[in-house]
Amino acid sequence: MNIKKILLVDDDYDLIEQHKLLLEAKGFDVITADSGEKGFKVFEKELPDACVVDLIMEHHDSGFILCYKIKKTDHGKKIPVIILTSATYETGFRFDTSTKEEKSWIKSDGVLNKPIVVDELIAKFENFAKHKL
Amino acid sequence: MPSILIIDNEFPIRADIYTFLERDGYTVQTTTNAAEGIQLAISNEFEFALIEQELSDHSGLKVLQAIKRVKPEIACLIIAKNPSYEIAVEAANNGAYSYIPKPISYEELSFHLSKGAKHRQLFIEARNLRKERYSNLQELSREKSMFKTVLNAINGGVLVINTDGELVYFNNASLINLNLDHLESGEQILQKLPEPIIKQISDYLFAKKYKSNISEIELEIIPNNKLYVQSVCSHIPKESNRFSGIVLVIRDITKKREVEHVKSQFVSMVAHELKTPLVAVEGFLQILQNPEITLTESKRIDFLKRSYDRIKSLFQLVNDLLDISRMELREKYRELDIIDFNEVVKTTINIFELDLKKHEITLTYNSDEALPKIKVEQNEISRVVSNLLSNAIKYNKPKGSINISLTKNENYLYFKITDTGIGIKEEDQPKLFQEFFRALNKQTRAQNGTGLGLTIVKRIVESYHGKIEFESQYGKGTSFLVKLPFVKN
Repeated sequence: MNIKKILLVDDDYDLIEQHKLLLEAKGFDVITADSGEKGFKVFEKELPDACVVDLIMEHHDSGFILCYKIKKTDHGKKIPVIILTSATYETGFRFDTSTKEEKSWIKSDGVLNKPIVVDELIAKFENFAKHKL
Repeated sequence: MPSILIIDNEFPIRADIYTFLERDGYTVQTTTNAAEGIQLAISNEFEFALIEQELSDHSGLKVLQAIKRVKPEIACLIIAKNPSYEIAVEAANNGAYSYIPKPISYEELSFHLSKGAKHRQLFIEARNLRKERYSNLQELSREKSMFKTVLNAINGGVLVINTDGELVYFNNASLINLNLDHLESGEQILQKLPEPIIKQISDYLFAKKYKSNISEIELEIIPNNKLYVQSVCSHIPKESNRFSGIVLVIRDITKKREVEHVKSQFVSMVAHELKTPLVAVEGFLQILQNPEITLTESKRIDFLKRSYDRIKSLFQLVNDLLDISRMELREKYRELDIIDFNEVVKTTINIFELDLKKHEITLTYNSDEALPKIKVEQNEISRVVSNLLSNAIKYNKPKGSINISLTKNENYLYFKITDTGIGIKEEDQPKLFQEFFRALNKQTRAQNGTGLGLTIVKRIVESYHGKIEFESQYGKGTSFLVKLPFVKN
């Protein structure tokens, strides 16, 4: 699948604007939402080619829930959904998708650290596409 | 100097014996009277007693019995003018160590005396040993019961297990800390213990020789953090590098784990909250330098301004965190003043006058007259008022109002601040005083905040044995009530 339209979900307006600029500079179309709940509504309406989702939004696990909901849909199964967060090992939040157990309940196709590095994100997209084949 | 008591109605016995005894360093006392003899023996310290078998007023054997009953250590020998085998046996049964028929030569007597001295020494030694043994036994039983009492009093479980895996001793706390109903000394304990402990102790039970190091593990006994224990295992040493068993100490560390968990959660939250604004600033700076992205001049200025705002809020967060940690340290050392709460409120309102004007908010303040004073540190109480007031402004509606009152109740001053702001959703209310909690919605997002302001307020108020309560209706406004105890007279 050729990725053109990306859904960005983050409750930090500064980051949304930054990420939007960076992704648009690489030729992507970017749509945004500022909460997990709204994120899912936008997803259902726009059916993007990829999703980049913040973790801690209106609730601590909003990102996980959004991933889960997206991945339950037919369209969601076909596209990469990446969690982008600053809550990582260094800050004491113990999760990523490296272990089997975590993979079983975290329905994302990868976790990336903030600040965003667009090339890393594209690599995750490509990795997803490779495994889909 | 050894002394001899001679009880003999034929006394004085042969003068040469008497002379020889004195020459050899004995003190000699004599009597012909049985009663006097007994009296002398009992009230003095004689080493020896020579008793005639047939005294004129009494039987010599009766005298022997009387003396031995009170002073068993006196070496007694019976001398007999009319010796008989039966009497000799009886004398021996009554504690005489020798039986000598008369006439007695001095050589014979001194032989018997030296025999008697040994006899007496053995007797005294035996008696001392007996005494010692008795007192040792007493001590031992005292120690044993003390050992038991002490072990049952400590709240750590103590289990002693021998090399056959049998339970030798356990105290009450072992049952509690291992969540077991029943244990019995002598029983095979291994299958009753949780798996991690069995693993831990088998290294020790099946060791070839004594290990001086201990092993410590932590394990969950009742799931969901209900009971968490630390198990410490060590060898009980025996001679020549061997061991007689192991001792297990089981401590309840559930509370400690809880505290650690809360602490590490707090640290994680802090780290995350510190990282968030830094990520935003870094992102802006990256974009400003990115040759692939062209920005209008006003966008560039906007990004710089927003970076600056994020840095400012980061500063505020660091200050709040420092305040919290300082508060914990300072509670012991702070200097309390008797102050007028009314003055503090008025001063704080003045500081916020510009803010109020900017947001076009009207503020009314009413206070009772002649209020009693409070004993607090002024800075801290100003912080309470300013945090609550700044929230009331921040989360108010444009052209809203704030109503503050200060009144006296039975034991407390009531400081009440009511706003006509956005209110707090019911689901968010229980989390209001949590560190880093910020109700997230359109109205709050626009406001800077660290999520620590109300945490700080609550901590300060409670450190003065005060209380903080609130009522809120989403969309209508919020009212905070701070109760602080006042100084009487």
